[in-house]
Amino acid sequence: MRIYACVKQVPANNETRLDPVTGTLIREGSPGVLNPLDAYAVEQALRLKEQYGGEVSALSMGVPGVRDMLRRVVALGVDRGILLTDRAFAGSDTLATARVLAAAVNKCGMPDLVLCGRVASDGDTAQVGPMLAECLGIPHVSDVACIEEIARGEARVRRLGDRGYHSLRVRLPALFTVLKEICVPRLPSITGVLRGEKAAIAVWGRADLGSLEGGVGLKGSNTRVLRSHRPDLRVKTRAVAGARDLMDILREENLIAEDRVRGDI
Amino acid sequence: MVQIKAMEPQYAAYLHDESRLMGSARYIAFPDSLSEVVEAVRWCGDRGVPLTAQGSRTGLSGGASPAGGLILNLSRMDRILGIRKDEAGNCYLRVQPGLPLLRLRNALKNKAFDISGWSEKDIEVLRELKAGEWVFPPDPTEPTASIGGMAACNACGARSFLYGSIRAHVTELVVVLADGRTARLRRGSERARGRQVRIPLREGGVFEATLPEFDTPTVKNAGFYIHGDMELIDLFMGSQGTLGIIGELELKLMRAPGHLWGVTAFLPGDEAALSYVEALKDMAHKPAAIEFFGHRALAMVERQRTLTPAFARLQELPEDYGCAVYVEFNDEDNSAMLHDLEELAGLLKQVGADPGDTWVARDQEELEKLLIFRHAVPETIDLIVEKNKKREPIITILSTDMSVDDGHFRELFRMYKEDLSASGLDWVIFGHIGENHVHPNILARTADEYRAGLALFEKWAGEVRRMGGTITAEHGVGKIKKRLEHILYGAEKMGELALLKRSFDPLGLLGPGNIIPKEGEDGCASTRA
Amino acid sequence: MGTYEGLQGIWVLCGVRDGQIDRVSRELLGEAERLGAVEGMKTTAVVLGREIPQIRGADHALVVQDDSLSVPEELRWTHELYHLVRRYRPQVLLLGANGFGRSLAPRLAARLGTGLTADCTALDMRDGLLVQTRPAFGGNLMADILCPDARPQMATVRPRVFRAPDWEAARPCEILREPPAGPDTLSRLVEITGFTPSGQDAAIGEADILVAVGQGIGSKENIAMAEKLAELMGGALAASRPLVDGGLVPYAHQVGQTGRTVAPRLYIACGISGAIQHLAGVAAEKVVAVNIDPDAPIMERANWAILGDCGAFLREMVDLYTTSPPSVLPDRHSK
Repeated sequence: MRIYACVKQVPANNETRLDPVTGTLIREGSPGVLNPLDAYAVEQALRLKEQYGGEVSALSMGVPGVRDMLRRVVALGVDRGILLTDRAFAGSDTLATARVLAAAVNKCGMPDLVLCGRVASDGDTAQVGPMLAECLGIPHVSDVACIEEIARGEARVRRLGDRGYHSLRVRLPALFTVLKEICVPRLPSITGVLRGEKAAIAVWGRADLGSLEGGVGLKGSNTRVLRSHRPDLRVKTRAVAGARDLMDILREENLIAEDRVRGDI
Repeated sequence: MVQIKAMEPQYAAYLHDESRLMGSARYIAFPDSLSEVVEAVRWCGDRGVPLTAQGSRTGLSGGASPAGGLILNLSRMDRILGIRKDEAGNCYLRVQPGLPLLRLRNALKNKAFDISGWSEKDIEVLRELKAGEWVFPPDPTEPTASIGGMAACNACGARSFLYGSIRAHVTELVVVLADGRTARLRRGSERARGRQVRIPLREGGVFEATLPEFDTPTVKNAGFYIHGDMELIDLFMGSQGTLGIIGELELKLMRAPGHLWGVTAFLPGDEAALSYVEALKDMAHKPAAIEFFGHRALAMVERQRTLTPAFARLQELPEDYGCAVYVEFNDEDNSAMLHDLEELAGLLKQVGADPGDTWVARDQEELEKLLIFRHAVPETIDLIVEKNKKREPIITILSTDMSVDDGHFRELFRMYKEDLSASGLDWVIFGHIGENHVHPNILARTADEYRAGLALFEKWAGEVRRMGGTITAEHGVGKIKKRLEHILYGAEKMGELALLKRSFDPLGLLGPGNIIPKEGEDGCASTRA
Repeated sequence: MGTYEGLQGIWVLCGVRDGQIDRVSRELLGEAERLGAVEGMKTTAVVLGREIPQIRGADHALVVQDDSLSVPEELRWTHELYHLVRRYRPQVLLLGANGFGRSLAPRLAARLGTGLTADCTALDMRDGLLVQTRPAFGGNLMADILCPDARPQMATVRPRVFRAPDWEAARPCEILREPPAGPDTLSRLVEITGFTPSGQDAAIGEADILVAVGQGIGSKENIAMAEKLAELMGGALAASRPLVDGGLVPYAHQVGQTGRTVAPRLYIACGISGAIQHLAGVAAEKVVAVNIDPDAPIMERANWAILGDCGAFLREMVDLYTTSPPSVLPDRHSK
């Protein structure tokens, strides 16, 4: 089986901290890391490889520094890392990103399976996976909780829907975005880390990917960020003594269904 | 004014620590300042009421389980009071004893300080501080432990292989003596002259006492610390609230290492592990921590995985594991790690292990995963002991933390294994092998097995005495290891320690039953059998 | 055939639940009407299915009815919607940001080659363009996004951001039926073979009231008590990540960055410190925080803060619900 795991580098944490003396934003200590949910896609890919044989490639679009993150992914047992980096890719929205990833997948030949994390912690769109599947012309299933079996060119999976779990049968090749309940990501071994350090990471730019129909980068993106602003998340907090007072407030604010407060049932 | 409250059922949780040794008390107080501690101590002194100081109650030796009288719970004294830097650029924090370790760590990591009441000067120092720049290195397994409690039993934790126990990181104590008078003891200023102790009091005057004639073991030791010409601050660290109450501390911080990483290696057997550990200790780059997990400990966690949902997130063990050794390094940067990993791979091959059967944690995030695994071992023991205790109430955790020097460790380790294998008991071994103290744990299923376990501990205490070691490297003697301590020191030295205690606390009110047997208590008797 | 001028305005893809247009779709129909009024655009409710419920609250309803549309499935829906959009060329297409909408919308947007904004929390019309506001970086940043050139301008919108208009009073709409484009090759590659409802827990994205538990909850008994209170209040139990990772609460209950985004009217956070990763998933109208730590970040984000033990609070709440009939509850404003 040939599997691609798509991975993204994100800031280590989204937490913003304020300096207690100056009241300004603390920016220290936020290096780039593997998007936490992508670790599950990588792990699932490795487990499928161990179960069914084959090879796993990790694919990432990003700045040149993402090469180090890919080495860390290779250390886990991934066979090769491919970095898609080019100034022309900068400013890509989700669809333009999916086009670049699709071009890279097509360059290597269609795999049996493409796995993505459910969502990236920075952008929080959960769009690139389904868009990539569309660009590749293969089916996708989002929020996969379990890959039960792969046989005869078909996968049986369980996905978390809005009201419960669906069981699905999907013809391969296909793309799945996976939930964190799918597996426990492993740690690398010494052998793996040393191999990862020495691994050659393929670096492809726009010229390596042939024609990118629909365009990439800022120019190829249909969406534009008009402006961004920091929301005022603080609310006026009122201290409440306990449950009884809270009930009064909730009743005043019409937040509870009165008929449910009962003693006679 | 400190409020002295009568004990009520709602305070039941304050009657024991993690050892589950149930104590008793008539009163409880939650002072929130040094002066309130003094008031409480005076209140006790005036009435002859004994008192037991408590922090977070995470200790394993019953030191915080009250033995009648007043519970002096210091958990509300949990503030960081100030910060200073010396000429050399070293950084120090002044803290109250009830401050939980985790809060201290988070404060340093996120630069999250409550600066109300701080002096302008301290705020100026804080202004320059960068988030994550400094750390407090002592790392007992339990992150909710209070700083005061850690100091009182001289806790150390995994990283003490490199950084030493908490003793090395406390530069000043304010202690409240049995009569309510207080003393400020600085490391480097107040020392014993030979065996003579002179403590200048803040209220004026001097407190005098004489140290016992013998020195306590030189291996890492959680009990009393006695040496000629010793720093007086050390007298109150390890003595578990029997000589005075720690009311305030100054902690010396360390610059955060640039890069923390660790490796858990699976080895074919214990002898290979011992050789690997010896090789680790000889490395040019000294590890921060070396931990051991015996085969039975690993198998125990593996079995529990199917029963405890939380354990489903644990890393999966390799197929043929013998035992495991975890080693942690602190580095300036990333590049040193690769060099060290090459070296570790070589060491593992030398002892017949496969460098592929390892878990490498390259950053804090990955280290957390190894930490969760490390915590799973004592957590599983807790679960099993709880279960066994339901059938047989006498059963408690039976764990030791005896320690010897490098030259005797293999002998001690082999003895543990031989005795345990021959005993027919359920047991596991894990712990701080880097400093020669692993924790053999006996999971007694019956009262007979429980007594058999205690008997083994007593046998080992005798052997450890012969080897020049100690019966408690880190947990403290508290109330449950007095019998072992008696075996270690013998009646004469125990008498000298009791004399020292009496000179500090003539009425026997401080930490009654801790380390020194109470009046009328038979210190030689097995503690709980 | 023939194009309908009125169908080139704002579309809302409507979901169906229990034989009715679902709540988020109604919210979107209401918002579409407001936006439409700004630019004089007509609104269209788009409904696909085997059975078509009563449709109101839009100028038109565009309906595709077919036996093969019995269960929502992204590829099948994409095929139908693609044809509808290609034929009528709407300016705007809005979808609910539930699991299905967030999986369908990117697929469709990619096929249409248009822009898509995920999980919007506010919408507006400016100079004929849809201004789509969405949180990023775990809610630490809000971004206003435009799709200036491509059409339709697509957005998924968080449930409960907008108020659902009074359904009974909503205006009737002109129904237009469109023949199905039929299953295509791609959608035949996926087959839904089973469904396991996850009971109450599936409902956290839809519940009006969530009783949420975090690390400071204290005990398993307290979690059970929180679940009981949720049930009594007609809500659902939610949890922060540590409790889910700790195996104490199933994953389907997890709120936050690695769990689900929820937008209840009332969010009662018991023993939740309020890490940003958790708060990123909470878009509640009102928040109650119960915590023993006055410095917990949640206390600043709560409308009402109760400093105290979660267990005691929950017990008292459950007591108030089970033992005191409303008439006996003391009214503190009367004597």
